[in-house]
Amino acid sequence: MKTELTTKKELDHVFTVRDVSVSYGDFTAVKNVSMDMFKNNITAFIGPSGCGKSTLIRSFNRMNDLIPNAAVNGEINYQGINLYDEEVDPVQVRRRIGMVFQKPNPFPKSIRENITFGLKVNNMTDNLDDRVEKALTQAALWDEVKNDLDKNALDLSGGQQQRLCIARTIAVEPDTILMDEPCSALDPVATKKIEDLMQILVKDFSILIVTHNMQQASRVSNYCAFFTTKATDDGRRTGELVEYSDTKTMFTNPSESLTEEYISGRFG
Amino acid sequence: MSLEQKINKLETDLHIMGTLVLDSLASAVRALEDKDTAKASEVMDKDDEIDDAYMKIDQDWFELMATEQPVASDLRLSTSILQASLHLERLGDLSVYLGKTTHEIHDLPIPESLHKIVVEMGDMVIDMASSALESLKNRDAELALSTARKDELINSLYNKMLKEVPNISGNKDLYSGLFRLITCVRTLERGGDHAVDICELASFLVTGEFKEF
Repeated sequence: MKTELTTKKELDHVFTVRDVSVSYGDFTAVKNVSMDMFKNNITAFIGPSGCGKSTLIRSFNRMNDLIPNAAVNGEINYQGINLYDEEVDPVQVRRRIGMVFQKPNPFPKSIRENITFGLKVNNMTDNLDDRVEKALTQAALWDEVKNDLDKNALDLSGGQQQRLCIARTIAVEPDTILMDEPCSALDPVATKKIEDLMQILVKDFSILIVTHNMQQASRVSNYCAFFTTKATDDGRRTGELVEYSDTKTMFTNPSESLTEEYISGRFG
Repeated sequence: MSLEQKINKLETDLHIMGTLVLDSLASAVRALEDKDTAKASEVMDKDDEIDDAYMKIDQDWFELMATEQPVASDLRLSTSILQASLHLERLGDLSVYLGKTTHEIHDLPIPESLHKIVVEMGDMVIDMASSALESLKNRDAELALSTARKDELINSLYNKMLKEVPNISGNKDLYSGLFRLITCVRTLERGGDHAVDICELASFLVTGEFKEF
């Protein structure tokens, strides 16, 4: 029997990451990352393709457990608990730390069922209708779909589908939301709706977002981490954290020249 | 043009404007010293050129922000250029003011010692503005700081003037001249402040942190 994932103590940090490396077989995707992420803030991960930012964010709710050969070394503490402790149940982890992906991926079911599916899995079956309404309202989608809850979710627009995925994530009452390029498949109008929504959600949730869009990182985040890739002796490339600071400092006066070159588009 | 080229052009335009302003200030102070109204009129006529240079930098900066969204050192430099151009524009206005003062006082009986103070302050403002622009151009924080400190000399001359004027008695023409000299030194004192502000921008470009001198 796995122990219940409960918060040991109230901390300012939602994640405390120490010397974390993630590898797939003998390939190290990202190495030696140490950083603290603040509660009820939006932290953005930026960096070129292959720098390990998505790999790292997936290790924050043990999504990498599902990939054969993936290994996480070092320590990821979530509100004072070692996420990779053998006593910790990964299903509990993913309920508390939800995830939204690059491409909207609603289930090919009704809008209502998209929300209730996770609730049923987590035995949160009391007041289902209220929970559906609350989640869709929090995701700023309720007004648009309240009369079509039995409509197939795949009939929604891309932006609505992504907000449905956010609603599905927050329905199971997580406290942290991981977003892996949540707007890269959306047009600017749908992107703005998601960004506005993030500013509302951050009052109740801690948010980590991976984005390729630097303006998005500068617009929405409070803290920003820049990763890059460095060549290793065997000719492969491994991701590293270069700089982590509040977003204002990152975009006005970064301390590392690599950051400066990347954010001003002079990388390489 | 690339972002780098656009910012380089913005900075070049700023220093061209700087040269115009320094020339204008020099002519204005010499006209005031020699009570040369013809020269003073020339200075006043040339102010439009300075205003046009300012408007061009302002519009190019606006376009740069809209199209390139510069960040980090690009953002600091482009914004500092805009702010410096505003201070230069005000220094250009100071030249016009000195020109007007020359017209107002050239036939009034003013004490030579006070006239000398005004001219001396004018030369100090030129020296400070010139060094401030040099510190901005060469990213020289030390020169910026030493230049900003010269403002104390301008302030002390300003205070000296304020102390001496009430002790002077005379006729209506004398008072009229004194009144114009007092407002003129007040404007020159502000000119020194504009030079200090440019020094602060030079320091900001070097350190990345804005500090008031």
